[in-house]
Amino acid sequence: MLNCHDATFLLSQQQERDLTRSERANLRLHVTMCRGCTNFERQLPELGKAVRTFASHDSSNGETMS
Amino acid sequence: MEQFVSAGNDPALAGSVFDERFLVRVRDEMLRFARLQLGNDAEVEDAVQEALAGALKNARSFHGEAALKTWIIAILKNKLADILRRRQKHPVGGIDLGNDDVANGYPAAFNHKGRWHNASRPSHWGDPEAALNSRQFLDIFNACLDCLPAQQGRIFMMREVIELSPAEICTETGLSISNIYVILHRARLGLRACLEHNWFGSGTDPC
Repeated sequence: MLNCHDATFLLSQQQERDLTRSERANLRLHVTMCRGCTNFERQLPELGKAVRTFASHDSSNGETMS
Repeated sequence: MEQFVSAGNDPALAGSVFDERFLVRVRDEMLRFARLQLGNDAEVEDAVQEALAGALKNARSFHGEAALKTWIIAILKNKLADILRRRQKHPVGGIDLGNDDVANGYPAAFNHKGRWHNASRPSHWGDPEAALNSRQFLDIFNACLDCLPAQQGRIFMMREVIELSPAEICTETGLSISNIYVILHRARLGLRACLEHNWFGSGTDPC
């Protein structure tokens, strides 16, 4: 059984690589039962969006670059 | 309104059909974008200048400032990726996890069994889309990014903004792929905790 640290580590790696079948199965089992890790999973894509918005923002007038 | 600009004192900006103030503003944005990812050095300024000059050679094929801007950013991203690949000859050294590791071997958000501490358990953010473009949110994001160990912030940007693959980040940094995974995990844990505390919560102390 995964703990929250291991589950979030897999969720993070899922942004970079395909998980194995057993990793996915263990992860789903944990996340389904864990509200904190469910929220963490939802927040991951938001962090990416936030850093891209941040990086493309003009510091002076608040316009985005792209 | 587009207009012809005078030669000014910058050859890269000379002779363009686009408004000079627009070009100066775009160059400032590009510099900021590049420095976030590569630090502040002459190489970065050269890359920005080259990207801008290269894009302006074809400026006449663009019908508006927004389209030109998109094109300039695409060129700049390629140049930054090139610089990062060249820098692989000077790897940054070992993994730096900052000082958030406690004796139990887990990052500070977790207890000795690897479970969330109550105070660190992620809560529901609702729909953060509206916040993303607000000045206040971006200021907090900036402060949170600064709180990460420099290596974490840099590798997180390489991954999410320049969109390098993990293998490319390994080549650039000299770190192993498993270290890259650990660093990205820590960066995400650190950023989300800081954002939750300062944006979605009521905290006032970014780090």
